[in-house]
Amino acid sequence: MRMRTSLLLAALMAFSGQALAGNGSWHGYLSQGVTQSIDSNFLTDNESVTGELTELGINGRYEFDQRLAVVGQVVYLDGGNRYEKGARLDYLFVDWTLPNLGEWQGHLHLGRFKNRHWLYSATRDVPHTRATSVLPQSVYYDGFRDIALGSDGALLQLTRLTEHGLWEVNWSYGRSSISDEQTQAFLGTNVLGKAKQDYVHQFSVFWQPPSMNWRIGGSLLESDFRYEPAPMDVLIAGTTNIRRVMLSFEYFSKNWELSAEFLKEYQQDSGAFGPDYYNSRIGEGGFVQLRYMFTPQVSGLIMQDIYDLNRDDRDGSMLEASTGGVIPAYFGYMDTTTIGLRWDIAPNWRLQGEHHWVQGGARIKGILNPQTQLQSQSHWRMWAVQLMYWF
Amino acid sequence: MLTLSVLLSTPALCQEKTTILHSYASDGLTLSRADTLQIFTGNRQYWPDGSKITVYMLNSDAPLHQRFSREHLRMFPYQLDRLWNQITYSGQGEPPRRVKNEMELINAVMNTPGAIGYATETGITQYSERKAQLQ
Repeated sequence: MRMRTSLLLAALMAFSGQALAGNGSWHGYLSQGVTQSIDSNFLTDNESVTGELTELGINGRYEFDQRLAVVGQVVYLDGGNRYEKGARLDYLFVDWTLPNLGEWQGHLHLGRFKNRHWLYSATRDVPHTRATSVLPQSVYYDGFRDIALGSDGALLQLTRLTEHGLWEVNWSYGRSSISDEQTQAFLGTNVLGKAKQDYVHQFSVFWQPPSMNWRIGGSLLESDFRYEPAPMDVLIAGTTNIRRVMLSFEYFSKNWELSAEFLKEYQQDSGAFGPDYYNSRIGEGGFVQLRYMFTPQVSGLIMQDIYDLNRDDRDGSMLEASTGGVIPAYFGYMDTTTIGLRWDIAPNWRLQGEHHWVQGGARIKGILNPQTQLQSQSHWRMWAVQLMYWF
Repeated sequence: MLTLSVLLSTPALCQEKTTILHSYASDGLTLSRADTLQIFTGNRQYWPDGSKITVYMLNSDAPLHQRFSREHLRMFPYQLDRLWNQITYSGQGEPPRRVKNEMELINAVMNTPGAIGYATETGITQYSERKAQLQ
Protein backbone atom coordinates (compact mmCIF):
# COMPACT_ATOMS: atom_id res chain seq x y z
CA MET A 1 0.00 0.00 0.00
CA ARG A 2 2.83 2.41 0.93
CA MET A 3 4.65 1.60 -2.32
CA ARG A 4 1.47 2.24 -4.25
CA THR A 5 1.04 5.56 -2.52
CA SER A 6 4.61 6.55 -3.39
CA LEU A 7 4.06 5.67 -7.02
CA LEU A 8 0.86 7.61 -7.06
CA LEU A 9 2.60 10.61 -5.54
CA ALA A 10 5.36 10.38 -8.12
CA ALA A 11 2.78 10.23 -10.87
CA LEU A 12 0.88 13.14 -9.46
CA MET A 13 4.02 15.26 -9.51
CA ALA A 14 3.67 15.30 -13.26
CA PHE A 15 0.68 17.56 -12.79
CA SER A 16 2.51 20.00 -10.61
CA GLY A 17 2.19 23.67 -11.42
CA GLN A 18 3.91 26.86 -10.28
CA ALA A 19 4.42 28.04 -6.72
CA LEU A 20 2.73 31.07 -5.37
CA ALA A 21 5.65 33.47 -5.43
CA GLY A 22 6.61 36.13 -2.89
CA ASN A 23 8.90 36.64 0.09
CA GLY A 24 6.69 39.03 1.96
CA SER A 25 3.61 38.41 4.05
CA TRP A 26 1.40 40.44 6.27
CA HIS A 27 -1.27 39.71 8.87
CA GLY A 28 -3.37 41.59 11.35
CA TYR A 29 -6.16 41.63 13.86
CA LEU A 30 -9.05 43.84 14.90
CA SER A 31 -10.89 43.67 18.17
CA GLN A 32 -13.35 45.77 20.09
CA GLY A 33 -14.77 45.16 23.50
CA VAL A 34 -17.05 46.57 26.15
CA THR A 35 -15.72 46.73 29.68
CA GLN A 36 -16.28 48.05 33.18
CA SER A 37 -14.61 48.00 36.56
CA ILE A 38 -16.80 48.36 39.63
CA ASP A 39 -15.51 49.80 42.93
CA SER A 40 -12.17 50.45 41.26
CA ASN A 41 -10.73 52.58 38.46
CA PHE A 42 -8.54 49.71 37.26
CA LEU A 43 -10.24 49.62 33.85
CA THR A 44 -12.68 52.52 33.70
CA ASP A 45 -13.41 55.69 35.67
CA ASN A 46 -16.57 56.18 37.73
CA GLU A 47 -17.77 52.63 37.06
CA SER A 48 -18.57 53.59 33.47
CA VAL A 49 -19.37 50.91 30.93
CA THR A 50 -17.17 51.89 28.03
CA GLY A 51 -15.65 50.67 24.78
CA GLU A 52 -12.12 51.22 26.12
CA LEU A 53 -11.01 47.80 24.95
CA THR A 54 -9.66 48.22 21.45
CA GLU A 55 -6.75 46.29 20.02
CA LEU A 56 -5.71 46.64 16.40
CA GLY A 57 -2.51 45.42 14.84
CA ILE A 58 -0.86 44.82 11.54
CA ASN A 59 2.41 43.02 11.02
CA GLY A 60 4.67 42.21 8.12
CA ARG A 61 7.55 39.88 7.46
CA TYR A 62 9.93 40.16 4.54
CA GLU A 63 12.39 37.33 3.94
CA PHE A 64 15.47 38.22 1.91
CA ASP A 65 16.55 34.59 1.91
CA GLN A 66 16.41 31.61 4.25
CA ARG A 67 18.76 33.32 6.71
CA LEU A 68 17.59 36.89 6.90
CA ALA A 69 14.20 38.52 7.42
CA VAL A 70 12.85 41.86 8.64
CA VAL A 71 9.76 41.77 10.79
CA GLY A 72 7.57 44.49 12.24
CA GLN A 73 4.22 45.16 13.87
CA VAL A 74 2.32 48.34 14.57
CA VAL A 75 -0.53 48.32 17.06
CA TYR A 76 -3.21 50.67 18.32
CA LEU A 77 -4.31 49.91 21.87
CA ASP A 78 -6.92 51.24 24.23
CA GLY A 79 -7.00 49.31 27.48
CA GLY A 80 -8.82 51.85 29.60
CA ASN A 81 -6.78 52.94 32.60
CA ARG A 82 -4.40 49.98 32.38
CA TYR A 83 -1.91 51.64 30.03
CA GLU A 84 -1.54 54.61 27.70
CA LYS A 85 -3.95 54.71 24.79
CA GLY A 86 -2.46 55.11 21.33
CA ALA A 87 -0.42 53.67 18.49
CA ARG A 88 2.88 51.91 19.13
CA LEU A 89 5.64 50.26 17.21
CA ASP A 90 5.24 46.89 18.85
CA TYR A 91 8.27 45.26 17.31
CA LEU A 92 10.68 45.81 14.46
CA PHE A 93 13.66 43.51 14.25
CA VAL A 94 16.01 41.67 11.97
CA ASP A 95 15.47 37.92 12.27
CA TRP A 96 18.74 36.19 11.49
CA THR A 97 18.57 32.41 11.25
CA LEU A 98 21.90 31.16 12.57
CA PRO A 99 23.77 28.16 11.17
CA ASN A 100 22.80 24.99 13.01
CA LEU A 101 24.94 24.05 16.00
CA GLY A 102 24.60 20.27 16.01
CA GLU A 103 20.92 19.66 16.63
CA TRP A 104 20.35 23.22 17.84
CA GLN A 105 18.65 25.72 15.58
CA GLY A 106 19.13 29.38 16.36
CA HIS A 107 17.58 32.76 15.69
CA LEU A 108 19.04 36.12 16.58
CA HIS A 109 16.63 39.05 16.75
CA LEU A 110 18.18 42.50 16.58
CA GLY A 111 16.09 45.62 17.06
CA ARG A 112 12.86 45.99 19.03
CA PHE A 113 12.28 42.34 19.86
CA LYS A 114 9.45 40.55 21.63
CA ASN A 115 9.75 39.10 25.11
CA ARG A 116 9.60 35.33 24.56
CA HIS A 117 10.33 34.33 28.15
CA TRP A 118 6.81 33.90 29.57
CA LEU A 119 3.80 31.92 28.36
CA TYR A 120 1.83 34.84 26.91
CA SER A 121 4.47 37.55 26.61
CA ALA A 122 5.33 37.19 22.92
CA THR A 123 1.78 37.89 21.78
CA ARG A 124 0.39 39.70 24.77
CA ASP A 125 -1.26 42.35 22.57
CA VAL A 126 -2.91 39.85 20.27
CA PRO A 127 -6.40 39.16 21.61
CA HIS A 128 -6.99 35.75 20.07
CA THR A 129 -3.74 34.35 21.48
CA ARG A 130 -4.74 35.09 25.08
CA ALA A 131 -7.06 33.18 27.34
CA THR A 132 -8.57 36.38 28.76
CA SER A 133 -8.69 40.04 27.76
CA VAL A 134 -7.18 41.03 31.10
CA LEU A 135 -4.27 38.69 31.76
CA PRO A 136 -3.39 37.54 35.31
CA GLN A 137 -1.87 40.65 36.82
CA SER A 138 0.56 38.88 39.14
CA VAL A 139 2.72 38.01 36.12
CA TYR A 140 1.35 40.28 33.36
CA TYR A 141 1.05 43.52 35.32
CA ASP A 142 -0.46 45.96 32.81
CA GLY A 143 1.13 48.96 34.52
CA PHE A 144 4.44 47.47 33.45
CA ARG A 145 3.17 46.35 30.08
CA ASP A 146 5.25 48.46 27.71
CA ILE A 147 8.43 47.56 29.56
CA ALA A 148 7.65 43.85 29.78
CA LEU A 149 6.45 43.37 26.20
CA GLY A 150 9.82 43.66 24.55
CA SER A 151 12.94 45.76 24.44
CA ASP A 152 15.35 47.47 22.10
CA GLY A 153 18.35 45.17 21.93
CA ALA A 154 19.04 41.55 21.06
CA LEU A 155 17.35 38.21 21.64
CA LEU A 156 18.89 34.82 20.98
CA GLN A 157 16.55 31.86 20.62
CA LEU A 158 17.81 28.28 20.41
CA THR A 159 15.58 25.26 19.83
CA ARG A 160 16.41 21.57 19.73
CA LEU A 161 13.78 19.10 18.60
CA THR A 162 14.64 15.44 18.80
CA GLU A 163 13.00 12.17 19.78
CA HIS A 164 13.71 13.17 23.37
CA GLY A 165 11.58 16.28 23.27
CA LEU A 166 11.67 19.94 22.40
CA TRP A 167 14.07 22.33 24.13
CA GLU A 168 13.81 26.08 23.81
CA VAL A 169 16.41 28.41 25.28
CA ASN A 170 16.03 32.20 25.11
CA TRP A 171 18.42 34.93 26.14
CA SER A 172 17.86 38.66 25.71
CA TYR A 173 19.40 41.98 26.64
CA GLY A 174 17.92 45.40 25.98
CA ARG A 175 16.07 48.37 27.35
CA SER A 176 12.74 50.17 26.96
CA SER A 177 11.85 53.80 27.26
CA ILE A 178 9.50 54.84 30.04
CA SER A 179 6.89 57.48 29.34
CA ASP A 180 6.08 60.41 31.62
CA GLU A 181 2.69 58.84 32.25
CA GLN A 182 4.32 55.63 33.45
CA THR A 183 6.81 57.56 35.57
CA GLN A 184 3.98 59.36 37.30
CA ALA A 185 2.02 56.16 37.76
CA PHE A 186 4.89 54.61 39.70
CA LEU A 187 6.32 57.61 41.51
CA GLY A 188 3.39 59.99 41.92
CA THR A 189 1.58 62.53 39.79
CA ASN A 190 3.62 65.49 41.03
CA VAL A 191 7.04 64.26 39.91
CA LEU A 192 8.76 66.24 37.15
CA GLY A 193 11.82 64.15 36.33
CA LYS A 194 12.35 61.11 34.11
CA ALA A 195 12.46 57.41 35.00
CA LYS A 196 14.73 55.38 32.75
CA GLN A 197 15.47 51.72 32.35
CA ASP A 198 19.21 51.06 32.20
CA TYR A 199 18.83 47.49 30.96
CA VAL A 200 16.76 44.33 31.21
CA HIS A 201 18.55 40.99 31.03
CA GLN A 202 16.46 37.82 30.65
CA PHE A 203 17.02 34.10 30.26
CA SER A 204 14.53 31.26 29.94
CA VAL A 205 14.46 27.53 29.28
CA PHE A 206 11.43 25.47 28.24
CA TRP A 207 11.11 21.73 27.69
CA GLN A 208 8.30 19.76 26.10
CA PRO A 209 8.45 15.94 26.22
CA PRO A 210 8.00 13.74 23.13
CA SER A 211 4.37 13.21 24.15
CA MET A 212 3.93 16.99 23.53
CA ASN A 213 1.10 17.14 26.07
CA TRP A 214 2.88 19.29 28.64
CA ARG A 215 5.53 21.96 28.78
CA ILE A 216 7.57 23.34 31.63
CA GLY A 217 9.90 26.29 31.79
CA GLY A 218 11.77 28.69 34.00
CA SER A 219 12.89 32.26 33.48
CA LEU A 220 15.11 34.85 35.11
CA LEU A 221 14.95 38.61 34.75
CA GLU A 222 17.16 41.38 36.05
CA SER A 223 16.62 45.04 35.39
CA ASP A 224 17.94 48.36 36.67
CA PHE A 225 15.99 51.61 36.64
CA ARG A 226 16.98 55.10 37.67
CA TYR A 227 15.17 58.33 38.33
CA GLU A 228 16.66 61.56 37.01
CA PRO A 229 15.03 64.50 38.79
CA ALA A 230 14.14 67.78 37.14
CA PRO A 231 15.97 70.90 38.46
CA MET A 232 12.94 71.72 40.62
CA ASP A 233 11.46 68.41 41.69
CA VAL A 234 9.80 66.75 44.66
CA LEU A 235 12.11 63.72 44.25
CA ILE A 236 15.87 63.33 44.14
CA ALA A 237 17.91 60.88 42.06
CA GLY A 238 17.22 57.24 42.81
CA THR A 239 17.65 53.70 41.56
CA THR A 240 15.62 50.49 41.53
CA ASN A 241 16.83 46.97 40.89
CA ILE A 242 14.33 44.23 40.05
CA ARG A 243 15.04 40.53 39.77
CA ARG A 244 12.31 38.08 38.82
CA VAL A 245 12.39 34.29 38.99
CA MET A 246 9.49 32.49 37.38
CA LEU A 247 8.25 28.98 36.68
CA SER A 248 5.80 28.27 33.86
CA PHE A 249 3.77 25.16 33.18
CA GLU A 250 1.19 24.03 30.62
CA TYR A 251 -0.73 20.77 30.27
CA PHE A 252 -2.81 19.89 27.23
CA SER A 253 -5.60 17.34 27.09
CA LYS A 254 -8.23 16.67 24.48
CA ASN A 255 -10.98 18.62 26.21
CA TRP A 256 -9.13 20.73 28.75
CA GLU A 257 -5.88 22.52 29.35
CA LEU A 258 -4.12 23.83 32.41
CA SER A 259 -1.60 26.64 32.56
CA ALA A 260 0.21 28.12 35.52
CA GLU A 261 3.01 30.56 36.25
CA PHE A 262 4.57 31.42 39.61
CA LEU A 263 6.93 34.27 40.31
CA LYS A 264 9.16 35.65 42.97
CA GLU A 265 10.19 39.27 42.46
CA TYR A 266 13.01 40.93 44.37
CA GLN A 267 12.95 44.73 44.38
CA GLN A 268 15.40 47.17 45.94
CA ASP A 269 14.80 50.93 45.84
CA SER A 270 17.38 53.55 46.85
CA GLY A 271 17.11 57.33 46.97
CA ALA A 272 14.34 59.17 45.08
CA PHE A 273 12.19 59.85 48.19
CA GLY A 274 15.20 60.92 50.32
CA PRO A 275 18.99 60.57 50.43
CA ASP A 276 18.81 57.70 52.93
CA TYR A 277 15.67 56.06 51.58
CA TYR A 278 16.10 52.32 51.04
CA ASN A 279 13.40 49.73 50.55
CA SER A 280 13.81 46.04 49.91
CA ARG A 281 10.95 43.64 49.35
CA ILE A 282 10.15 40.30 47.80
CA GLY A 283 6.87 40.03 45.96
CA GLU A 284 5.31 36.63 45.33
CA GLY A 285 2.43 35.41 43.25
CA GLY A 286 1.17 33.41 40.35
CA PHE A 287 -1.88 32.01 38.64
CA VAL A 288 -3.49 28.70 37.80
CA GLN A 289 -5.87 28.64 34.86
CA LEU A 290 -8.09 25.82 33.63
CA ARG A 291 -9.90 25.91 30.31
CA TYR A 292 -12.49 23.29 29.42
CA MET A 293 -13.62 22.83 25.84
CA PHE A 294 -17.31 21.96 25.76
CA THR A 295 -17.10 21.73 21.98
CA PRO A 296 -14.25 22.69 19.60
CA GLN A 297 -15.94 26.11 19.30
CA VAL A 298 -17.06 26.80 22.87
CA SER A 299 -14.90 26.73 25.98
CA GLY A 300 -15.07 27.95 29.56
CA LEU A 301 -12.30 29.16 31.82
CA ILE A 302 -11.67 29.45 35.53
CA MET A 303 -8.59 31.12 36.97
CA GLN A 304 -7.14 32.00 40.33
CA ASP A 305 -4.46 34.66 40.47
CA ILE A 306 -2.70 35.84 43.63
CA TYR A 307 -0.07 38.44 44.30
CA ASP A 308 1.55 39.81 47.45
CA LEU A 309 3.62 42.95 47.08
CA ASN A 310 5.80 41.95 50.03
CA ARG A 311 5.93 38.40 51.29
CA ASP A 312 6.80 39.72 54.78
CA ASP A 313 3.65 41.87 54.74
CA ARG A 314 1.02 39.73 53.07
CA ASP A 315 -1.91 41.62 54.61
CA GLY A 316 -0.42 45.03 53.76
CA SER A 317 -0.50 46.27 57.36
CA MET A 318 3.15 47.35 57.29
CA LEU A 319 2.52 49.23 54.04
CA GLU A 320 -0.35 51.13 55.60
CA ALA A 321 1.63 51.87 58.76
CA SER A 322 4.74 53.00 56.88
CA THR A 323 2.69 55.52 54.86
CA GLY A 324 0.88 56.86 57.89
CA GLY A 325 -2.37 55.33 56.68
CA VAL A 326 -2.24 57.12 53.32
CA ILE A 327 -2.06 53.85 51.36
CA PRO A 328 -4.65 51.35 52.68
CA ALA A 329 -3.41 47.89 53.64
CA TYR A 330 -5.30 46.21 50.79
CA PHE A 331 -2.89 47.78 48.29
CA GLY A 332 -0.36 45.25 49.60
CA TYR A 333 -1.98 42.31 47.84
CA MET A 334 -4.31 41.42 44.99
CA ASP A 335 -6.15 38.11 44.65
CA THR A 336 -8.41 37.53 41.66
CA THR A 337 -10.90 34.84 40.73
CA THR A 338 -11.91 34.81 37.07
CA ILE A 339 -14.45 32.97 34.98
CA GLY A 340 -14.60 33.25 31.21
CA LEU A 341 -16.44 31.98 28.19
CA ARG A 342 -15.17 31.77 24.61
CA TRP A 343 -17.11 31.18 21.42
CA ASP A 344 -15.37 30.72 18.08
CA ILE A 345 -18.19 32.00 15.92
CA ALA A 346 -16.49 31.23 12.61
CA PRO A 347 -12.91 30.69 11.42
CA ASN A 348 -10.90 33.77 12.49
CA TRP A 349 -13.81 35.22 14.49
CA ARG A 350 -14.15 34.93 18.26
CA LEU A 351 -16.36 36.35 21.00
CA GLN A 352 -14.89 36.18 24.49
CA GLY A 353 -16.30 37.29 27.82
CA GLU A 354 -14.93 37.28 31.35
CA HIS A 355 -15.69 38.40 34.88
CA HIS A 356 -13.10 39.01 37.58
CA TRP A 357 -13.71 39.22 41.33
CA VAL A 358 -10.79 40.97 43.00
CA GLN A 359 -9.61 41.47 46.56
CA GLY A 360 -6.91 44.10 47.02
CA GLY A 361 -5.19 46.61 44.80
CA ALA A 362 -1.47 45.80 44.61
CA ARG A 363 -1.56 45.69 40.80
CA ILE A 364 -3.72 48.76 40.28
CA LYS A 365 -1.66 51.33 38.43
CA GLY A 366 -0.98 54.56 40.27
CA ILE A 367 -0.87 53.23 43.81
CA LEU A 368 0.67 56.56 44.94
CA ASN A 369 -2.08 58.56 43.29
CA PRO A 370 -4.63 59.78 45.89
CA GLN A 371 -7.38 59.49 43.29
CA THR A 372 -6.57 55.81 42.80
CA GLN A 373 -6.54 55.23 46.53
CA LEU A 374 -9.95 56.86 46.87
CA GLN A 375 -11.62 55.10 43.97
CA SER A 376 -10.39 51.56 44.64
CA GLN A 377 -12.15 49.59 47.32
CA SER A 378 -10.75 46.47 48.96
CA HIS A 379 -13.21 44.27 47.05
CA TRP A 380 -13.97 45.14 43.46
CA ARG A 381 -14.97 43.58 40.16
CA MET A 382 -14.39 43.98 36.46
CA TRP A 383 -15.75 42.39 33.31
CA ALA A 384 -15.13 42.51 29.60
CA VAL A 385 -16.70 41.19 26.42
CA GLN A 386 -14.52 41.31 23.34
CA LEU A 387 -15.18 40.52 19.69
CA MET A 388 -12.08 39.74 17.66
CA TYR A 389 -11.16 39.04 14.07
CA TRP A 390 -7.75 38.12 12.70
CA PHE A 391 -6.31 37.60 9.25
CA MET B 1 -17.21 16.60 -3.88
CA LEU B 2 -20.32 14.84 -2.67
CA THR B 3 -18.60 11.49 -2.97
CA LEU B 4 -15.68 12.69 -0.89
CA SER B 5 -17.90 13.99 1.87
CA VAL B 6 -19.70 10.67 2.07
CA LEU B 7 -16.49 8.70 2.11
CA LEU B 8 -14.92 10.78 4.87
CA SER B 9 -17.91 10.30 7.08
CA THR B 10 -17.84 6.50 6.93
CA PRO B 11 -16.55 4.85 10.13
CA ALA B 12 -14.08 2.63 8.28
CA LEU B 13 -12.26 5.60 6.77
CA CYS B 14 -12.14 7.43 10.08
CA GLN B 15 -9.65 4.78 11.20
CA GLU B 16 -7.42 5.25 8.17
CA LYS B 17 -3.90 6.51 8.82
CA THR B 18 -2.77 9.79 7.35
CA THR B 19 0.22 10.10 5.05
CA ILE B 20 2.56 13.04 4.65
CA LEU B 21 2.82 14.23 1.07
CA HIS B 22 5.10 16.89 -0.32
CA SER B 23 6.20 18.27 -3.64
CA TYR B 24 9.84 18.96 -2.80
CA ALA B 25 11.85 17.86 -5.83
CA SER B 26 14.58 15.76 -4.27
CA ASP B 27 15.51 12.13 -4.65
CA GLY B 28 15.43 9.96 -1.59
CA LEU B 29 14.18 12.56 0.89
CA THR B 30 12.73 10.81 3.90
CA LEU B 31 11.11 12.78 6.65
CA SER B 32 11.54 11.54 10.22
CA ARG B 33 8.94 12.30 12.86
CA ALA B 34 11.22 15.08 14.13
CA ASP B 35 11.43 16.53 10.60
CA THR B 36 7.65 16.44 10.26
CA LEU B 37 7.20 18.03 13.67
CA GLN B 38 9.72 20.75 12.89
CA ILE B 39 8.03 21.63 9.61
CA PHE B 40 4.43 21.56 10.83
CA THR B 41 5.27 23.56 13.96
CA GLY B 42 7.20 26.27 12.10
CA ASN B 43 10.64 25.36 13.42
CA ARG B 44 11.84 24.59 9.92
CA GLN B 45 10.65 26.81 7.09
CA TYR B 46 13.06 25.95 4.28
CA TRP B 47 14.01 22.75 2.44
CA PRO B 48 17.66 21.62 2.36
CA ASP B 49 18.20 23.33 -1.02
CA GLY B 50 17.07 26.69 0.41
CA SER B 51 13.63 26.76 -1.18
CA LYS B 52 10.68 27.82 0.94
CA ILE B 53 8.39 25.22 2.49
CA THR B 54 4.70 25.94 1.98
CA VAL B 55 2.58 24.14 4.55
CA TYR B 56 -1.01 23.23 3.72
CA MET B 57 -3.58 22.16 6.30
CA LEU B 58 -7.30 21.64 6.67
CA ASN B 59 -9.32 23.69 9.14
CA SER B 60 -8.92 22.61 12.75
CA ASP B 61 -12.37 21.08 13.05
CA ALA B 62 -11.80 18.69 10.10
CA PRO B 63 -11.60 15.06 11.30
CA LEU B 64 -8.68 14.41 8.97
CA HIS B 65 -6.74 17.33 10.46
CA GLN B 66 -7.46 16.07 13.96
CA ARG B 67 -6.14 12.61 13.07
CA PHE B 68 -3.05 14.07 11.41
CA SER B 69 -2.30 16.26 14.44
CA ARG B 70 -2.48 13.33 16.82
CA GLU B 71 -0.73 10.74 14.62
CA HIS B 72 2.18 12.79 13.32
CA LEU B 73 2.60 15.63 15.80
CA ARG B 74 1.05 14.18 18.98
CA MET B 75 -0.67 17.50 19.41
CA PHE B 76 -4.27 18.59 19.66
CA PRO B 77 -5.49 20.92 16.92
CA TYR B 78 -6.00 23.76 19.39
CA GLN B 79 -2.33 23.44 20.47
CA LEU B 80 -1.23 23.67 16.87
CA ASP B 81 -3.50 26.67 16.23
CA ARG B 82 -2.10 28.49 19.23
CA LEU B 83 1.47 27.75 18.24
CA TRP B 84 0.94 29.08 14.72
CA ASN B 85 -0.83 32.16 16.05
CA GLN B 86 2.16 32.87 18.26
CA ILE B 87 4.55 32.32 15.36
CA THR B 88 2.53 34.50 13.00
CA TYR B 89 1.80 37.41 15.31
CA SER B 90 5.25 37.58 16.88
CA GLY B 91 6.79 37.75 13.43
CA GLN B 92 8.40 34.33 13.42
CA GLY B 93 6.93 33.00 10.20
CA GLU B 94 4.10 32.53 7.77
CA PRO B 95 1.12 30.41 8.91
CA PRO B 96 -0.01 27.29 7.02
CA ARG B 97 -2.39 27.82 4.15
CA ARG B 98 -5.80 26.41 4.97
CA VAL B 99 -7.92 24.59 2.42
CA LYS B 100 -11.44 23.26 2.66
CA ASN B 101 -11.11 19.54 2.05
CA GLU B 102 -8.74 16.69 1.34
CA MET B 103 -8.99 16.93 -2.46
CA GLU B 104 -8.11 20.64 -2.33
CA LEU B 105 -5.25 19.88 -0.01
CA ILE B 106 -3.76 17.21 -2.29
CA ASN B 107 -4.27 19.43 -5.30
CA ALA B 108 -2.59 22.39 -3.59
CA VAL B 109 0.43 20.34 -2.53
CA MET B 110 0.78 18.77 -5.96
CA ASN B 111 0.60 22.14 -7.70
CA THR B 112 2.91 24.08 -5.40
CA PRO B 113 6.64 23.31 -5.60
CA GLY B 114 8.08 22.84 -2.12
CA ALA B 115 4.67 22.31 -0.53
CA ILE B 116 3.82 19.82 2.18
CA GLY B 117 0.54 18.51 3.53
CA TYR B 118 -1.20 15.29 4.46
CA ALA B 119 -3.89 12.98 3.13
CA THR B 120 -5.25 9.48 3.40
CA GLU B 121 -4.17 6.85 0.91
CA THR B 122 -7.79 6.59 -0.18
CA GLY B 123 -7.84 10.30 -0.81
CA ILE B 124 -4.67 10.14 -2.88
CA THR B 125 -6.08 7.24 -4.92
CA GLN B 126 -9.30 9.13 -5.47
CA TYR B 127 -7.43 12.25 -6.50
CA SER B 128 -5.27 10.37 -9.01
CA GLU B 129 -8.33 8.69 -10.52
CA ARG B 130 -9.97 12.05 -11.03
CA LYS B 131 -6.83 13.43 -12.61
CA ALA B 132 -6.65 10.42 -14.91
CA GLN B 133 -10.27 10.95 -15.96
CA LEU B 134 -9.55 14.57 -16.79
CA GLN B 135 -6.57 13.65 -19.00
